[in-house]
Amino acid sequence: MEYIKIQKLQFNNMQIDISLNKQEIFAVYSRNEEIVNDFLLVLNGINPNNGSCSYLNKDIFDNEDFFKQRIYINFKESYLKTINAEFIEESLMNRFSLSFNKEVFNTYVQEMGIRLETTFKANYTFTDKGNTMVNFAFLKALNIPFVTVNNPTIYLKKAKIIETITNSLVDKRKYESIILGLDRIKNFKEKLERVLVFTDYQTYVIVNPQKDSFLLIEDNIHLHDKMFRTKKMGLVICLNTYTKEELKRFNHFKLKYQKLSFYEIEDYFGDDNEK
Amino acid sequence: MIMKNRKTEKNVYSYGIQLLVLGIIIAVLITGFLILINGIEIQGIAIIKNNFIVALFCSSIIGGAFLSFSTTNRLLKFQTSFGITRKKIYKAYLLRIIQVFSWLIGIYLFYTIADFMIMDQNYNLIPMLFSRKTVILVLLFLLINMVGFWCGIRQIRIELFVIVLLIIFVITFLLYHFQIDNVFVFSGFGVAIVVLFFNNYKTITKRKIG
Repeated sequence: MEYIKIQKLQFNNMQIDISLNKQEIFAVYSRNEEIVNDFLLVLNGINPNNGSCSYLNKDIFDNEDFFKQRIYINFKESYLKTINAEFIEESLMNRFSLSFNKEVFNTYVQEMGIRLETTFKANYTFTDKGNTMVNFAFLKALNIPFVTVNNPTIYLKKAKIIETITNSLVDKRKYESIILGLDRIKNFKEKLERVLVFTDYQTYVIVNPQKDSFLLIEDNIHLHDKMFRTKKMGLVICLNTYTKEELKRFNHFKLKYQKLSFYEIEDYFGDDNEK
Repeated sequence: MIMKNRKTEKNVYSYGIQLLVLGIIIAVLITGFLILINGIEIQGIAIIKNNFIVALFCSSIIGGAFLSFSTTNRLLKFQTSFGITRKKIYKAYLLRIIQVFSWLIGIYLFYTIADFMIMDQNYNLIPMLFSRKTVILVLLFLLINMVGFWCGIRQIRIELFVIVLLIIFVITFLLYHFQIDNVFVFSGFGVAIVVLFFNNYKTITKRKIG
């Protein structure tokens, strides 16, 4: 069921039209994390959209009904200075009237070993990794239907923890809507249903990671739907919308190409994408 | 939901009691202070007595400035992320400023009237209440808060904000010290406060935050 509608949104010299559905794992990706951040702020009604984004036919910007239903969390930012669940619960209730499940929070704090990622001073100071994990535990302890998470696996290296977080974030039983601002595509392998990708060419593409494929190919004048430049000079990644004839023509011109899945494209970006 | 309502009621009730107790303590302290210094002719005590209100206003002005600055500079994105609308944030901020302002005026009135009664002054109470100094301090309080909010929403660095505050303090001091025409000064302050008040509302409901 459609709940957010974006029509003619002027964003970063692009005009965006898209509808978001409930019970859909929707993600946003760009190599420039600021673009993702800016877009998610618009999508969450935090920044103005000039009337182009609506939630149940009402402008999403500063919309109280929508705000009651949704939360926006960027795992890169620090929201908590403690892991004392009682204190967090009271603070959330007093400041935001949000209910908080202490048991769920404490379970994740133990399971992920968050205490090991803190230093004790006047307040808890979390390591980058610890901050991501505590933000996740915090999010899980909240009972909010529409969730937007930016940088969900930022700074994480351990496969087990990444798996716990990604599996949990795409849990449709817990959330009515999930929007992710991807920091690493690979971490969500086989879990995404639709991805809005901002390309290196100031365009955007809506990708279905299960169906769509991509071409890694030498840049040339016959290409269309170009998406990313790669670390190897002259090679680009395009959305594979090419016909058999077009691919044959590439062979004829001895233009080598390689088919990639959505989850593989990141491997060709180079160091500037390391996070 | 019932639990939540009970908790809110309990919070409001306990907050009201806290305020009442605080008000009584302040009143007792002020009265005690004025009774104790009554008749003592020491210069240091006279300085404290005469500048008590200025010190009170100045500390509220500085506190209010940083509260206003952090409301928009640091907390706006955080609060909107957690479901508080910008309009609500502005409303809550104004309520907080009105609360502080009411306390300030309340303490000022109590102090001046108590001083007048205990010290058995010979001059009129009304001119004492509305002295030029007090009016400037009240206007400065409102202006600085509006400026703090404005600087915060423009994501100005805190160092720059402190410089802005110092400039406003210096200008106000000079205007006061050199007795520059009251009507001109007061209307200037008034216009700036009203313009900033509406501008802040417009800005908070429109401006992009990063």
